[in-house]
Amino acid sequence: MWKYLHRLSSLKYCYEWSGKWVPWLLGVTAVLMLVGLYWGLLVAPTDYQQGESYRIMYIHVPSAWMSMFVYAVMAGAGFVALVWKTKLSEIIVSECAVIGAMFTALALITGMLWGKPTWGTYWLWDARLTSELILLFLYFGIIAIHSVIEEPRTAGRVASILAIIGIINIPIIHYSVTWWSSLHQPNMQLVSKTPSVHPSMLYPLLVMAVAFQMYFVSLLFIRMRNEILYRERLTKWVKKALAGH
Amino acid sequence: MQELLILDGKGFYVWSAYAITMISLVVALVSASMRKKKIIKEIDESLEQ
Amino acid sequence: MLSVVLTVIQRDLLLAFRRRADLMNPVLFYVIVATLFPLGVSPDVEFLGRLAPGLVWVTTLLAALISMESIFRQDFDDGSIEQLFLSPHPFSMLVFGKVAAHWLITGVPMLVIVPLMALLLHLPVQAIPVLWATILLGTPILSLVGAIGAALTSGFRGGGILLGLLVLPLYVPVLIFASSAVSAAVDGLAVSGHLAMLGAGLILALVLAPFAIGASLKISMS
Repeated sequence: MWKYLHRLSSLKYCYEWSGKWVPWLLGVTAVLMLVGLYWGLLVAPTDYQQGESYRIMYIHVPSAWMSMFVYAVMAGAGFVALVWKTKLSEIIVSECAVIGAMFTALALITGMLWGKPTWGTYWLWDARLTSELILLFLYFGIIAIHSVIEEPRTAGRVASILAIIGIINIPIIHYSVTWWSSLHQPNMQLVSKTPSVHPSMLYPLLVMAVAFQMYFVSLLFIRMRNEILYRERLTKWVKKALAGH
Repeated sequence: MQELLILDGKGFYVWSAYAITMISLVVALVSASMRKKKIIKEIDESLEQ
Repeated sequence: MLSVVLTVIQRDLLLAFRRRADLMNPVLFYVIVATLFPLGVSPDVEFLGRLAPGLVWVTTLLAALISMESIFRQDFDDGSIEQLFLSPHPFSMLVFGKVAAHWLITGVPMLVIVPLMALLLHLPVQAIPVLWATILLGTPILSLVGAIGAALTSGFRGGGILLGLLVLPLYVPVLIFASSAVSAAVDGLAVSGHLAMLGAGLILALVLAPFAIGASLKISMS
């Protein structure tokens, strides 16, 4: 079992098996994404309370879920990187930071575009928007490490520590922001972003959520493979693997 | 068709949200694939030297 | 065990007092930034009084952040951090001693100066004791969390700006609970809940941060 895991984490082996997975993952992502888009935009009924703008939910909610899920993956990989010092997990930490920041930014942008027709303003210091913004800052910090620390292995370990500190702090930050916003908007009745959903509205959301999940894995694999190639560019196996080109 | 574009007057928000999201997702994928070609080219050049 | 930590604290305090000019700098920064707010916003007494809890605390965060940058810098340059690491005593405790010394050097002057700043910013007088209590409970958290960031970045060039990027988001809960406590005191509401949250945060930081700082320093040294 350990031997197998060890082999799995060797960069050469990982490059080989992830290469086989990428086309399938991309195919599944594309199909699910198209089904989800069609279903969410054209088939799902109009929400009686929010009207048509609720359709933004089908991309906003999966982005927001992914922004947190990717952070959890990153912190998990960071833990593995610190304990077993595997190069692969360090690569996953740094690639997750970039992908997670993208999902977080998308969740914020779509949240703002949803807010304008619903609340009448692009930005409210709403608890969820605010903690999402701070999450984006946490991602930016981890991305910035790689521009300051040039040695990739040191940068990887520093990023891992930060990812773990972040995952301990995210609940505290989220709790404090929620409490703070309830303090400052005591009489404000906000329309919930995820209305108690009817199945006909829920299924497209689930399809989109899985599509985003698959997209994340595909992009992670592609970026991971690039980084492996680049880091191992001086080794024999890379030269051999590329000889076919 | 007209109705679908306007979406109750909220079409601008809905469509720009979808457009921004989908364009970002596709650009991220494409640029990652382009980077692979760049890396391979770099390695090839270093091999030739 | 305790005596070793005390020795570390004593050493750092001694070093700091030999360079007294440096001691004053964070305090001066603190006061000058506070002076900028009335100039930039409005000198109106009531308006400033309403903003004062937030202004004082944002200034505190910035001053704490700026002072953090130097906490390990010299020890990295002259190699004494490696000496501490090689000593037989637990590294995280020694590092805790360094953070404690740093707080005594930077946090205590803030405690002295903050009532004056409260007056400058027209914070209602009845809120000053609460402000003082939040500074007392909050700044050690800022030092402990900031030291993790400093430990990760001070071994590298360009680490200074990175430190702010890494640490400021983590300071958010302290800012929220501390300034809410002061605001509540201004309005004459109960503050014990907010102070209890700050206290809980301090305990959590005291327990966890030394290990994180130790681990971070190990990575930066390698």
